[in-house]
Amino acid sequence: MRALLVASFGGHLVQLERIAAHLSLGSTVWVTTRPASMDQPHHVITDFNKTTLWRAGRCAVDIQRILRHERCDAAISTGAAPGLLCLAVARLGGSYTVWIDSVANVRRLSLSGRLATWLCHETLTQWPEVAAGHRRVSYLGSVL
Amino acid sequence: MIFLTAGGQLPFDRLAEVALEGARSLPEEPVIYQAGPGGTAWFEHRDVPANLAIEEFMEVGRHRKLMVEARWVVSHAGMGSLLPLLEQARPVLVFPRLKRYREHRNDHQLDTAIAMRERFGLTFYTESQALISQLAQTPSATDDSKLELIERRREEFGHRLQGMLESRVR
Repeated sequence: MRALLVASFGGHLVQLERIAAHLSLGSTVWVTTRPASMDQPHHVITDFNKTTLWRAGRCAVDIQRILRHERCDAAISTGAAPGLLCLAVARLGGSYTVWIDSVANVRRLSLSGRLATWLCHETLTQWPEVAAGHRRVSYLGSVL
Repeated sequence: MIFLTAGGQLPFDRLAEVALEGARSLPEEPVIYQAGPGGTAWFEHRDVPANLAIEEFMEVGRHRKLMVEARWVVSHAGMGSLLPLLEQARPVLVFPRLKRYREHRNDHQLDTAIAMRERFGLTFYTESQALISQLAQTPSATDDSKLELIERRREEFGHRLQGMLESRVR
């Protein structure tokens, strides 16, 4: 299995690194939002959030440039907004997409996570109480 | 050495104040403050003591190293810091960004701080004075009893996620 792993610099990326360490994925393509964020080779895409939505276009171009050359069976993200955009594009290319909402979202799903319930094949939370409130959200475990 | 970290996203003025007052009250102790983007502006018209070093942004390796070496780490309630701190069982004082001071859009950092206290016994502060006086105290012996629990949870999570991926990807 070839997997696209995408997460914003900082806590999102730290979580995805921990999760990936417990998966056997065959080969991986890492994508994040800042250079030199991790030891593994990684692509860098433009960061944006809901207050800087105008940068999403540039982020989409960055994602296209990567996914043109990378065919991935699965795409997994722990957030944030650029990760969601990446999963949406990867899904169009035929990837099975999994959104894992950050463990920081203790009481409610992030906005990206709520959008992911419509854009991705699977949406996971790391808190059972959060999953209980959503029909389309599951709990499979947590990094903590 | 005391290390304070505001993360890589936003400045955090009340944590800046903890860094400044902490450094003033412990003049013999080096204090390093990772202030976040724009976080040095708060110090511009203030007297910064010689034992306080301020950096807006740090590369990951240096950030990790300081978290391991510090006598106390004071951290915003962000996972980029809290995850490695928990994994290393470091003495940490959590200082969540609060919506009421407009430090974040919502109170998810307070929710995180409460959850980390319940699950791992981490201490958090919502007001700076109590936190500043705690810095003079000696941390109790590190408690690594939770490390095995974290590792087991991750193994279970990985196992279930792997199963899901294999059943959906040909």
